[in-house]
Amino acid sequence: MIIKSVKLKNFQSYYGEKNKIEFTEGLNIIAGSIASGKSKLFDAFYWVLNDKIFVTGKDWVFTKNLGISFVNDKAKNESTAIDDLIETSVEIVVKNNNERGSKNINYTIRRQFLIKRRELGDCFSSENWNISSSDLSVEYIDKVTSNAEIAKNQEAKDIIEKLFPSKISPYIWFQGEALDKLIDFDNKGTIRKAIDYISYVPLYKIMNNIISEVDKKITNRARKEIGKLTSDISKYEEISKKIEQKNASISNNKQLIEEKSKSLALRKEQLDEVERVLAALVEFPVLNEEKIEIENDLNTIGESIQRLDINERKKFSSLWMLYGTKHLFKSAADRLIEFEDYRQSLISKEYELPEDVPGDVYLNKMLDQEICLICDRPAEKNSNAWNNMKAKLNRKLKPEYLSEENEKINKEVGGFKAKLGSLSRNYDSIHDEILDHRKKLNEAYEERIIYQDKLQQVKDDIDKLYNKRGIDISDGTLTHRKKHGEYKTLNEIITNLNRKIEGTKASIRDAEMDIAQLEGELSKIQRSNDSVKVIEEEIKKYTKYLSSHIANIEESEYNKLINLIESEANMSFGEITSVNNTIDGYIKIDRETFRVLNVDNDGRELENYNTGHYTLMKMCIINSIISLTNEYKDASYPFITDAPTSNLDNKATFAYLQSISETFKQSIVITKDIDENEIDNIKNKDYVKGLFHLKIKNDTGNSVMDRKEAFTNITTIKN
Amino acid sequence: MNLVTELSDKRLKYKVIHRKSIMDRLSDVQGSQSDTKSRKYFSQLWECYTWAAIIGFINDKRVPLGSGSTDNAFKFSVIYNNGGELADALILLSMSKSNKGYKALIDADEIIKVIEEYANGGFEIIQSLLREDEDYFNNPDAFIEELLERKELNL
Repeated sequence: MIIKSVKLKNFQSYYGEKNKIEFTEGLNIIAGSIASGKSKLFDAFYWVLNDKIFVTGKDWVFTKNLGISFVNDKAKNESTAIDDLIETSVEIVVKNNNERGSKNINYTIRRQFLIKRRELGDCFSSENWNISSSDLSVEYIDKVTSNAEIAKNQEAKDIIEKLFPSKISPYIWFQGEALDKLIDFDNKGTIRKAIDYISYVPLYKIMNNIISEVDKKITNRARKEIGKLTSDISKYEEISKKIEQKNASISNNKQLIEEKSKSLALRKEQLDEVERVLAALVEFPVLNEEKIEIENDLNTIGESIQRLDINERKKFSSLWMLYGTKHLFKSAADRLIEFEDYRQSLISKEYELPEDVPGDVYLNKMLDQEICLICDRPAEKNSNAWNNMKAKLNRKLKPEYLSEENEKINKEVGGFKAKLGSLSRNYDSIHDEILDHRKKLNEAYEERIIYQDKLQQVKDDIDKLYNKRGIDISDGTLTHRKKHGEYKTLNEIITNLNRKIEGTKASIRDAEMDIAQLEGELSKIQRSNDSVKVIEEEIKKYTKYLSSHIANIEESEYNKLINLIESEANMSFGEITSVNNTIDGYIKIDRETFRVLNVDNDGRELENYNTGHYTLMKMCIINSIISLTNEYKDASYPFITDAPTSNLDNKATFAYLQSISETFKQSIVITKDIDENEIDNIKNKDYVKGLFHLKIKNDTGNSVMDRKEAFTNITTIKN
Repeated sequence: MNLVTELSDKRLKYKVIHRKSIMDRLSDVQGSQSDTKSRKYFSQLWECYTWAAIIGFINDKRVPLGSGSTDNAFKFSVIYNNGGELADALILLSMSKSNKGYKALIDADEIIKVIEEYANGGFEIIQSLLREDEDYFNNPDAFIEELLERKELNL
């Protein structure tokens, strides 16, 4: 089978509908730098067949959970009106020649996804679009009627399953990041399943079952026929009956073991799943506790910010707002002093006036004693002298500084002088108080930012845990209790099943021993006529031989295939490692655990090989499985790979490319490891049959590639 | 009767437009106890008024109230009872700027008039800041910023 072409319309970075690549047989290389749309092309292949896209950190995500994220941004951005319709589609044309008589039948597989504008808000938000489900169709010419047929839904899926059988399809798609998700080499069943698919091993198993059945029947028949010829027929029949019963019980028990083993495998799978969830739940409480702690810390910081804020407002409205008024207070003080100076000048002026003397007190005393106390002469009452003295009474005016106005001002000045003193003292601390407050507030804000970042980190970790494990861990405790219960129950079930299987196996062994004993007894009963040949007895010899022989073939075919996978894988591994000095050794599949190992000449496991080496080894095994499938099934599958060589140097990259060009009838390699200036060099290599270049560009001439304008441009260089 | 007692019953006048565009905008008139984030910077009108007056005094911007419509929501005693030393400071600042000099200390009406005219000047300064950037005082930090930008004149 080969993929003839792929056509993309508004899929991820592929804008519009003029995105078509026509492939050829042999090695097709799609080169492009980072973010040129390479992985999007790989996504397109996978999406059209499987309705899923690999999202980093989230695993394979179905279209229905992708929203409008994979619809081209430029197309979305160009939508300006309600009811605008955008079609996203991928179409691949596959030529199938794997089936007899199917030569030259082309299947056009097409997946389409429509969105319609609902609201005119943000065009990148899913909320503003009506989304329909993805629609799959397969178009082909019926080989019997020669009519053009269009299959949809399940019928279309069935055709895809026939074209890309699910047992082999994981090996057709190879993407660095998704490799482990597709093929888990640590699981014992993985290679076994691949072998079952590509070989006749399952057929041998069926044949062996049939022969065993035939053998059982023939043995019974032979026994009956021989019984007829024995001296003690009744005893012979009695023992024969017992043997038959034992055989029937063995057969029942074997069936029981098969059933129990199936259920055991299922339970083990369930246990794996529960263990996976429990592992996540063990991580969750720690993260959750951390989250709660950070949230508490953030609350405390928030409270202290609030306290600082309240304090700031209080201080602002009681003192701080005066900051910058010092010079005005100084001039207020000057005015108070001005008044005091003025008052003092008045008082001094009072003392300069001697005509006020003697005062009324002294005058009244002199009038009482009728004597002038200044000149010491008598002054009789009503005499001229006495009357003169009396006239001087009340002669003095009130001093100016004691005027009502000045007294009032003086009182206020005194009061405000004291207030000014207190204000000045408080004023002097404002600057430091503000700076101190700001420092504390800034520290609290900085601390808050740090803790907010921490909180976001923990939340991200919890989200990652959720995505990685694909489970809802939001209600940790409840889920944990439930899962722990399931874990215990499953363990008990598994133990019981194992015990039952072991018990049944023991019963089978007992029955087999009984049968051997009973058969011994049978053989002791003399045959009355030795010359008569029992035909069933003769047939039995052949069925026994066939049964054991087919079991051997099955075993050896299985081993042979593992050897073949291993040696084919080593061939490509050798070709690649011969030009790359950093990787050496051989690939070995451990026959017990089916792990893929890197070993030295003596079969000892090498240490220090890194993920890159391991990925390369896995890649070689995949090459080998696909190539053997082609050989064994007389069917070929294309090999499509994204970024397979990112761990390799230039020489190894070319060696790898040459190796896969020889292994596969068609391969499509999407890579960033070929520079633009190397394209001519690659173009001239014989083993490169198709060469395409991807580049991100826009129509605006802007050197910055805005996602609203940029799109992937495909250039065909060779095909 | 001393000055403070005389001032207590006097109401401070301001222009209605300043009440609407500045005082109401920056003060929680209802004095609601909402959380810090949504709370306005001043919890009462007098705080905003006193702040405006001080800005007027510092920038020496004295603008008579003129003929536009005025409002007088609070008495001077409100500042005296809530603002700690701010009321004394206002009297001293007013006296320092009054043409009557220390004699203003026995003239309550003069003290009030001077405060009103400088507050009016302060409001005009604030208004011009808001004209440049409507959201200038939406960030509570702006009030402290404004303080620290004031020049300390050591005369």
